[in-house]
Amino acid sequence: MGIVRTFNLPNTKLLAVKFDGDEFDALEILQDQWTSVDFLWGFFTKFQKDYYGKYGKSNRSKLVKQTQHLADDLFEKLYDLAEDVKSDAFAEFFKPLDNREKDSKPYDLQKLKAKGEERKSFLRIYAIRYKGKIIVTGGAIKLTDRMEDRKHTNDELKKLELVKTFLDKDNPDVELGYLDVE
Amino acid sequence: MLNNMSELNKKLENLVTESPRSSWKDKVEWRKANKAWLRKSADISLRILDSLEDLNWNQAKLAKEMGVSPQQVSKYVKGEENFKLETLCKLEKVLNVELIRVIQEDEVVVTKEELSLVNEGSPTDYKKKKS
Repeated sequence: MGIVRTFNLPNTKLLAVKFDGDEFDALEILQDQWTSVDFLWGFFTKFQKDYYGKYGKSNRSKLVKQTQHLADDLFEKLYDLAEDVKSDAFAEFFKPLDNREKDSKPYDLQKLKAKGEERKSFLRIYAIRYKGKIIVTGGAIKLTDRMEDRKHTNDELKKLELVKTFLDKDNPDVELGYLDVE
Repeated sequence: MLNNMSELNKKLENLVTESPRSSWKDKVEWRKANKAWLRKSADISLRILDSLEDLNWNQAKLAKEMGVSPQQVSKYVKGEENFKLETLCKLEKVLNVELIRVIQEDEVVVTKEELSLVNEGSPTDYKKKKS
């Protein structure tokens, strides 16, 4: 396992994990998948019912395009925030995963609020925060309330734990927070 | 504890400096700079995937029919191919589907939804709903 820089800037805050056996780092893999029509087509063919259950019926091609646009917007925003190494906005862009997952009521309310919006964000980037740095471990198109509900989201929990253990094995007392960005 | 924290920080710094930089940044820049044609390319990829499903073909079958490598077909359906008109015409012929159309001066594009509004109501209603 390695950790790579995303910018050649001093004090750069955005890092990404490169897992053994992977050709690319976690952030590059996400970008490759979320901007690939073929990948998204396959994903929404497999998980179309999950989407319908959460957001209502939609056309598969529209979903693919919507996801591509959401991904481009998300990555561009992340890019702009990470490029500005002096800004605090970057750290605020990520929210604690535990807070989101442990209390289902605010999440349901959030979902209702999202229904009124034109764009529904189901893209998640998962990361670990350490001393102001954000280390991206992966991400998911999250269409179910709980990460444990689907293998592809549950795998992301395992990756978070793996990276936490990897970073933390010599320092069990150090608190590393899980992060979730939408 | 402080010692542990500093060791962890050092470990992280070592891990990062020993690794090459991610290509993610370059790809974000590339997609942003080429967004207009990438959106059109994605539309074409979706029509190709739709057609493959209708024909019950896989990508290998399309590669064979097109006389290209499976890797080339992977590029067609990824949404990042800057298609040549020649390739598009060949795809249209093989898949028996129209992938692009240049709108003439006396033509307009009407969606199925708009068309149903026209058929349901009077032309005046249609104009009202359009506005």
